[in-house]
Amino acid sequence: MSDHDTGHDTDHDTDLEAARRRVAARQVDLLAALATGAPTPPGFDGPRVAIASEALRRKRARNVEHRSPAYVRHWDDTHPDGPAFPDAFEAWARGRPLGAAGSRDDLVAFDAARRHGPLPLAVAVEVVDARLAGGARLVVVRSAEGPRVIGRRRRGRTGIRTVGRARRTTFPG
Amino acid sequence: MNPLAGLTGTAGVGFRPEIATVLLAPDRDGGDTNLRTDLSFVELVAETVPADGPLHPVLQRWLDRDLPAIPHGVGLGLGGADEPDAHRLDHLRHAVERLGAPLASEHLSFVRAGAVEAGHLLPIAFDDDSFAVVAANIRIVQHALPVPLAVEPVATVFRWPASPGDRSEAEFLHDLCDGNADLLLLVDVANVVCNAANDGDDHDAVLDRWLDVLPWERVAYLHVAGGERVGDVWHDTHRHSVWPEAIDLIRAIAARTPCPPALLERDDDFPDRAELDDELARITAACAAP
Repeated sequence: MSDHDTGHDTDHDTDLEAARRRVAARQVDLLAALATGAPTPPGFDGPRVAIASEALRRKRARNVEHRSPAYVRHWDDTHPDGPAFPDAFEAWARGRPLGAAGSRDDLVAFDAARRHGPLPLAVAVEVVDARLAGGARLVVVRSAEGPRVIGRRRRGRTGIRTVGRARRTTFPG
Repeated sequence: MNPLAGLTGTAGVGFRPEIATVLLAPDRDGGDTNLRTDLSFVELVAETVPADGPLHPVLQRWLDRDLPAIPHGVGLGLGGADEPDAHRLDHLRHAVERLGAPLASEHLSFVRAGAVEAGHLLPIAFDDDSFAVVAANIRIVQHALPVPLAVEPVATVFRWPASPGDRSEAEFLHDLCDGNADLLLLVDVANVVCNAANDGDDHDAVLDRWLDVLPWERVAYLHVAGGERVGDVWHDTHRHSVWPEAIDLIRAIAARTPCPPALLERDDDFPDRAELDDELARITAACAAP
């Protein structure tokens, strides 16, 4: 087939690729405003974009709570005078976009940033579950019951298990 | 060509494990026994349909009776700048096959850009660039699926800046259908009333325009859901009671055209059985009312 015969399709593909590039640039700018606190792109209603941005962070907080209800209960129990979990998470998440692994990343990162002391073992297990799902094989946690090694169950079984007591923790659990 | 044409004027429900028993008829002792017969179809979030392993037992009973179950995607990003991801597309096709679905649905939205995931269905522009990209992405998805695709416009609290000559949302849908004979629509009546309020437009005028402009014979089914109003902003949450305005819009559709079947979406803060049954009864009554 000659170039002449395919000319129309080539033009169409070129136009489409150009449209994709323009759409990509604009969507990147809008999502940066929504997810990372970048300036609202020109032409958008700034206050409304801010409302949408907060709604996204509160939805992420709910997803963390669905993933790890014991973690969120523990947070609220141990912060009786501070902000409730949704507010604490919403404040923390400003400027921090959702990770590729969704609420799993949100839980691990929020916990790493905001933890003050050891978690009860049952609560620590929920956080470890997220880290194991992210590819870790064994995780050492400094739980309130002492250091523990936690791992994922073998193939064919779901859930996670406590492997044993660790001698010491070499990194924050 | 509409695979749900036989279900005109009936109601369905979004299948969620937390409310799975809503598909069962309560027996005299208050237990759950048989599948109820007054719901005609269900929908599952496509990304939650497992690739293998057992399905939820209530869902399996539904499928064993050859009742329709539709995978409803949230992750393809039909309105995104990039072509739909091949792995996500594979999963959607697999979900269609596992459910024996008569069609699949996805949103006219973008859900990621660059390396950032939105975690939400974000609105698209209604300009020519966006139209070209969406139309091309839809064809890629249709090519990969063994069944028809229905596309759903999303709820939003803000809009893209518009230029004179841009299409309205309803015109955008009309023109997509005009250029694609196999395309079906999924109209979420809650999204329509929510967006009309957030756009600050005259409700009745917006709804009339939707009723006038949309090719209703292409609408495979309706969604209906609830949300909350914070000040003058409507949030489509799927965790509050159904908006009365959404039920009113179903009634207006039914008055004008054979009413596509309507599906209740409830995703969180699940109410008790009585409240769900009441919402389903109101939806069914609205669909059936000329």
